[in-house]
Amino acid sequence: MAENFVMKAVIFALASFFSLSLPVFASEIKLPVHYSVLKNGLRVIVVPDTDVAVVSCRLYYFVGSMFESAGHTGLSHMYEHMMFKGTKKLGTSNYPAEVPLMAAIDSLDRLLSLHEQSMDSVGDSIAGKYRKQIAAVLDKQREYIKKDEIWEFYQNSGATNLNAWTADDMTAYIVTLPKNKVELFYWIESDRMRNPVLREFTSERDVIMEERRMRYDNRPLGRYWERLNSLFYIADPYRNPTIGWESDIRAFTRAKLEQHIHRYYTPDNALIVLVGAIDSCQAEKDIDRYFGAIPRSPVPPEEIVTREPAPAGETRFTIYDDAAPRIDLLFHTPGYPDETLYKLDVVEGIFSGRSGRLYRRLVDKERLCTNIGASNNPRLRDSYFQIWAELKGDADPAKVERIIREEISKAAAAPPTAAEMRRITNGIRMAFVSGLKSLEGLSDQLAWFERLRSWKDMLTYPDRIAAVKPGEVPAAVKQFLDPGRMTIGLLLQQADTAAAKQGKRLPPDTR
Amino acid sequence: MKRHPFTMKKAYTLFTILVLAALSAVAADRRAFPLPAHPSRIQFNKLKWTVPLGSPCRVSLANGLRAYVAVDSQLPLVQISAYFRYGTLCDPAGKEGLCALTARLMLTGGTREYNADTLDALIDLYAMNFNVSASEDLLQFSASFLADYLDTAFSVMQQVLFQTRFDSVKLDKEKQISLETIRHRFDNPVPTLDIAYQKSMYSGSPAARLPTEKSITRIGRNDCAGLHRRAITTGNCIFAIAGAFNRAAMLERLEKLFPASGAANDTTFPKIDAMPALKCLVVHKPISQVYVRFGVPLFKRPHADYYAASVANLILGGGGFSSRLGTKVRSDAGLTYSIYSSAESNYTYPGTWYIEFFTKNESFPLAMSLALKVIDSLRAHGPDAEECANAKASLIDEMPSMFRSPFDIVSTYAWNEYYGRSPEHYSKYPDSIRAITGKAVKQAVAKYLDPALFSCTIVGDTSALSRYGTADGFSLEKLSPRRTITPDSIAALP
Repeated sequence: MAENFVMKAVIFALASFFSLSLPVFASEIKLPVHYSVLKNGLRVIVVPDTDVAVVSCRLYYFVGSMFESAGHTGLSHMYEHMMFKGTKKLGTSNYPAEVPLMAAIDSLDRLLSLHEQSMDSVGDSIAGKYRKQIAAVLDKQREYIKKDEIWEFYQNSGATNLNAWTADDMTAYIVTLPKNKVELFYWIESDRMRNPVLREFTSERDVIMEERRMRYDNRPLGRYWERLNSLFYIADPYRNPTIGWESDIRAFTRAKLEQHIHRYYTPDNALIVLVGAIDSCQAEKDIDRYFGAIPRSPVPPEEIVTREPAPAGETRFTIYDDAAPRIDLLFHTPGYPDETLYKLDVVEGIFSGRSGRLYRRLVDKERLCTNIGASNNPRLRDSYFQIWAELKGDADPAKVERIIREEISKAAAAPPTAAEMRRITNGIRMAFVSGLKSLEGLSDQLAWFERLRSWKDMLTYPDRIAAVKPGEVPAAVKQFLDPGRMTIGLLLQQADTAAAKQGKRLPPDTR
Repeated sequence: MKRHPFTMKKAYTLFTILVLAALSAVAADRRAFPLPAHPSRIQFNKLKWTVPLGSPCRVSLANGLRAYVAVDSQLPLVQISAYFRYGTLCDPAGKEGLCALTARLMLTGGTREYNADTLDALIDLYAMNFNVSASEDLLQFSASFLADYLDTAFSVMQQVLFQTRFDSVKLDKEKQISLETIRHRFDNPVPTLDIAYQKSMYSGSPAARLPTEKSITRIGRNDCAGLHRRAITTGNCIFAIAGAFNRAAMLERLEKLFPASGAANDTTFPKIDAMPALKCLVVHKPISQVYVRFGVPLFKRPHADYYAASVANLILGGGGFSSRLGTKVRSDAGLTYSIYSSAESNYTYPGTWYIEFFTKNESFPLAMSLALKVIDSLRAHGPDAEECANAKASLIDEMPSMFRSPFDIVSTYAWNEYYGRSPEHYSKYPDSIRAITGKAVKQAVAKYLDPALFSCTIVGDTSALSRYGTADGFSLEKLSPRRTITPDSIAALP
């Protein structure tokens, strides 16, 4: 009885002073979002849902490729992988015994890296010797390693959606657990935040090289998009590929990654979102027990000052490959929460969908494209608007481009019709309601808006778009969708040259 | 309004006291409830959850429709899945692609009341997410829409399902889009591997047939309309709906939506056996990685060995990083980003049990050798008791995630009935898994995953394969007879 009273007092105190628990009413929907901030700066969002027996548990760090400089691109993504390698307590039977072995591997890896850089080669016999030595030390270390213990703990507890992802400005560690197993998330994630150990670093770096080959080197669309993005942003670090440039990945060291971790992976740069069968007061109390004593970063995360300069003219990029031909028109737009972004959402609506202006014109009428659409992409700083079209094989890309330019001009000249506005409003409402269906999707949306400014914006965002007056739209188009300052990407079918044909033929010895 | 200074001061004092009390309460809480030293020491409460039943939602309507209906007022939304017994396996020889094309045209080809453009506009205007898709053994209509538009959505749905126009101009447009898709289906290595493996394992059967430029060109409006008449009938459908509506009124709507004249279950899928034609099929693609899938024919479900094979598969390569293949080939050796195994669950024809990975060209033989050694070890020794118990616990404890919402319940049970499973299937599932022994798992591996029977499909640069074909006891030469082709030749394989 007395214990219950103490518990209630503690919960009351937490709720009063460390949390801002606001039941939110987004027009027709009651979404009980409980927001709180721990003393060490860790933000917590809890959304109870009593109809389910699971909880989506997600820990977001506000770091990604946007915070990486030349030579360091891909470090956040590398750490996404390394977080599964364990801590001082998990994934090991004897951490102190591992320490000198990891140091020995670091030394050998440095020698290997120097050799490869000097020889501009990755496969000669000296490199092979270093690799064997690294493998031998790693074998010794593996006597103490408990393989993939974190993954195993989660999986054996009925975890679903167990994974992690990295984006430009956010990295997430995600799992959905039965409601009685949520404490496992607190334990593992607080330990990963406090005590990460970068074991098996060199082999995981090889894994990432394989991922890079799969996503970019051997996938024409991936290859195209990576290069187009780095041409579109000439200064802003959004130009960095999230996975990192190949040469940067090869040059990763444990020391580099440790520096990155200490700077960004701290409670004051993180957010926990729990959605599902959970009591918000108990959750806040438990999170404080597990995470509350983890210190803030001694220095605040470095502010990225680089901004994209206004484009000086049109940029055009053409690549020939074995891929369905396409054209992308990219426009620079302001960072969140500039009011223009809501107007550009309306423009996205005008252009997109099967009854949208671009589909009607270029797929239905002109028969030049197989699909087409537009997307408004708000970002923390320099956002972008994209019009994309998948071309029919015999379509003239110049004609497609000319028609898209015409449609942009029309949108800049006259406001959308009442029917278009109604379609867009319904679409936004439907997207908002549908987004609440999934526990995991709702977690990501709340985190994304909290990253941009505040989770509360998620609830007002649809209303802000619906409030745009048709007459305001042409000016936004005129100002930001300026064809004279756009970046155009063209992915075109490989010309049927003799060399191209040769590449597709069987080599003589295998025919 | 002027604030009284004394009141303000009192408020600040009270605030400070409460903050200090809260801080000390938190600190005391941390002391009073010390954290477990290790995750294995956490005392979890027993999960209070039982598998929800589908039967309370199940109705048989007077028009012959079998439906699962659940009210869910949490969101102003309605969700639908309708399963029609048909699929791409039913495509007549020479008209491959017909079922998929018909599915698309049901949405894009207009209806008796609305021409195609008006239908598009209506669906967009009311933000109705309608979709019709075709898989090998299932033709599925799905929808979600705002509950406000229930009347409009049902009216449009009635047109889409039963008054389809198959406008010939739109048919031509969809055929052009299909042809473009066909031209680019081998651009990427993973879909190339999927198709080549299917060709290799089911050679000469309907499961290996592909739409071609010729087969798409042959399809006419009457083909689509004929298929639609056969497949989209009341008796051929199992319907699932959940959302913010009145249940009794919904049953009335469904009585009106579905005509009473539909015939029941007259679709017969062709008999198909997995018969690998080759030991190894290599598709030449000059890229920097080798994409590999090797497997053996499994069985058609239901089958007594399925659960043992499922547990074995989770231990072998279905369980992510901590499965044996993931540990050895990815985590230890760093040779791949993805390696996994799959014991396919297939109710229409025998599936296969396969292992798939990709790796840089020079690592291919080593990765292959390691994967085969993992299989050999599991065959020889079976799983240890702990990994067997963990795999079973994992399969059972995932169940609450399957049944999160009323729509999950109705759609899962409708799907369950579509494949002829018992209404108690999910209730009995935990006990079925618990009953699997380590011995049964070992037997399943020994019985099915016989390396001598593996058929291997590879997509990669054949010159590199020749150069790096042998390492660590594995040689490409072991995979013979072997046939090497270009992507352009895949469609011509039987």
